[in-house]
Amino acid sequence: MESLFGSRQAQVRPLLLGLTLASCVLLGIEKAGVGWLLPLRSVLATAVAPVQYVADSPYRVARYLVEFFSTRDRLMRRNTALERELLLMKADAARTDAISAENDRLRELFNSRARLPDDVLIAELIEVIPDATRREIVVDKGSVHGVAVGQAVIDSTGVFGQVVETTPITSRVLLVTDPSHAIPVQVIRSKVFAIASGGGRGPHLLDDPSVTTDIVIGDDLVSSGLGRRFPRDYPVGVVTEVVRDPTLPYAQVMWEPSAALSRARHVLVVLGERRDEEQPETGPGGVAETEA
Amino acid sequence: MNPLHGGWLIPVSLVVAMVLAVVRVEGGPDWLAWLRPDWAVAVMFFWGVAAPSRVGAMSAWVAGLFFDVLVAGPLGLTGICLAFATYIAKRFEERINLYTVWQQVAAVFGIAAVIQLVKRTALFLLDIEWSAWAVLGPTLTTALVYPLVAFVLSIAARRVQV
Repeated sequence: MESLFGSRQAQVRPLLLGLTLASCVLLGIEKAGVGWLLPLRSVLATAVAPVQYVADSPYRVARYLVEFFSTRDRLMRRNTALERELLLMKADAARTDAISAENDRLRELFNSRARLPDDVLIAELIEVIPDATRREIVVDKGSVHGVAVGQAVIDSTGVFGQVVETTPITSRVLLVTDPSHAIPVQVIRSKVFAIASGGGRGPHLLDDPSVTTDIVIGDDLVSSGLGRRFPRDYPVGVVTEVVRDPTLPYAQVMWEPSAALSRARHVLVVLGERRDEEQPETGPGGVAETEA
Repeated sequence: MNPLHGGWLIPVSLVVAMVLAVVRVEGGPDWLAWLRPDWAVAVMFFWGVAAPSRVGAMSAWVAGLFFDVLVAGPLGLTGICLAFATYIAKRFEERINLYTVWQQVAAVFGIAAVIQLVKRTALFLLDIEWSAWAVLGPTLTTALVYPLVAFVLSIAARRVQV
């Protein structure tokens, strides 16, 4: 028995050493950030997608049951409320259309290119990355749906984050509050540019604005579009605290995201500017042209 | 005896561990993530002790790759942790089988502590925030859930004769 035990041990040790070495090589490649492992990751992540759906299923089932057992009366009331909301939204949208048309005419006067509306895709959350120091989610749309790394993700109230990894059927989204995330923003009121960094669990800060920068509590931050990753003019957050210590070279400006990061189940992936100018019938968006 | 008889339980238990590794409490506080046990380590340790001929460092390492993509971690990190847990379990299998429940809990605590420390350090080197709670929390809960994992898996293993 002892000799059997000994022989097994002798086999395992070089194996363990080899595996440690393999892991170190993989970690080194990851650290170098060259992206050699992306194809492998994509294959493995596709394989674990069913696990993500199963882990999310309690919430799916619960929502289904709530829908199934809600009374006719409640559904009717909800329907009425939604219809009313839709009507208000449509009125709002009509007004916005007029304004954006006017805006485009003005831009034409300045010889700038008219801004096109963005094509978006609705995606549903299936996993929250289980690490309290990180802010990442996985959604149920992937490269076959047109999602690509670098695309912005928004919800109805603001910028959510950006796509950092895709598989054919899922994609991983880095939220604006992740410590490794930063987004170029503009203060609506004073037109000041800044960079809004995520703070993870801690406060989210603007990157080193000078003490004289014109920022006050309650200022709205929108994406500035600088860096060309995020579409411009989407709400990003609100300034919640400004500390101006004369002994420090920079002001400390804290912000809170406007998107419902921890509550939203559905998000919109911004696929890019809608390509209406080239053959509307075959365009990927498939949305009829209505603008003059 | 058919060598593959009942062996399917091992991958199935790992898939269950994967589900448990990402299942979430909607609207729960942040620190809940620090109390999530490292189910994979508990499961692989159990199989290393209960069926040492069926699992090895190699298979544990490959299984770890799936956990890595699931939690969006660097590839190979969970693999080496699971390989280590499996190796220790197999190496001291006869001794651990004689342990009382609390001695086993203590053994798992020690292994989980080393594993969480390695994991968190590697993540820190990859620019992910260091957190002592992220080492301590999972270590404690992994040790505490181990008797439950061992109980459930040993009943299942007896049923299907792994």
